[in-house]
Amino acid sequence: MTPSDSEADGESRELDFDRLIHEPARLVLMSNLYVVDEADFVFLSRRTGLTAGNISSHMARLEAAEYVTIEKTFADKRPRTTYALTKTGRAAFVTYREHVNALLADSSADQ
Amino acid sequence: MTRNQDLQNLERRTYRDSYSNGIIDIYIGISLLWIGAAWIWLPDIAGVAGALPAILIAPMLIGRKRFTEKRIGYVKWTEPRRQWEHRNLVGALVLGTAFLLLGVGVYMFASDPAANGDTLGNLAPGLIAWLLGYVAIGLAFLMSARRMLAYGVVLIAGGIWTAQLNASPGWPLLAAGTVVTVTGIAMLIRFIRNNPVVGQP
Repeated sequence: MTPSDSEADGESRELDFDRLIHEPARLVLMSNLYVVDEADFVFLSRRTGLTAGNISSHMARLEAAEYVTIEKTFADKRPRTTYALTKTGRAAFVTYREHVNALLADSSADQ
Repeated sequence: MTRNQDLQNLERRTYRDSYSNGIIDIYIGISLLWIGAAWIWLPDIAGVAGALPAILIAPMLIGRKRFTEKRIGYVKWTEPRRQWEHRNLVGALVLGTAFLLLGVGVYMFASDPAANGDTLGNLAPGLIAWLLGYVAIGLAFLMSARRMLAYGVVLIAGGIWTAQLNASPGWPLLAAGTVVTVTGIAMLIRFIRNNPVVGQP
């Protein structure tokens, strides 16, 4: 493999990142959802510090990609919006982490 | 840091933060105050005083869930975490009750001068506090809750003090109950200040 091939390979791996997850707000939302089964809007808002508008718009994009499910219910006569990662979302998150870890391992090996 | 350790840390931190509201501390503190007070002032019912906290644990857990969900939101933990939580709750209840009953039994046995020498009789008033103190220290390591360590130290120190003064075993429970309740109230006030009720979109 020539240096240019290697560089191209590294570049393509970098470009392999799931751009949907790579965005910081969505990454932090997915990280928080990954470690639980499901959580509601208030919980995610407290954990991430994101505003209602931010959470809603990012979750809508993740839902469109079938990474999360959104369920609107009532609890004690109050509306509750619950989010959960789908199997696709969990798998995508694991893959994303593997790409990041591989890239970080490469960069630390280079030093 | 291993590959999944950062996510495990995130889960652990999230779980710990979700329970830093002082409600369990207030429940434990009031239980200790009640059992200690019953031992000192209501000796006729001291034997069954421990039943009331046991009965109140279910309403306390339901009330805590409803109170905290309005402020920090709803979360369903993963199956392993739910199993761990269930095991700990049952373990703490069984261990606490067993140690309390053991302490009462040993206290009654040790208090009988006909059956024992002076040494055991002199230690008898502190036994219950010591045993509960060891439970608290055990829970401190099991639940990674450092304040439980402080509660255990207060109970053990109270037990030593009670044995030296030959006072009622209720006093160290009252002392520890006061410390635990005050700590719980302080945590609850901070929790309410930091987490006002918010609506959902």
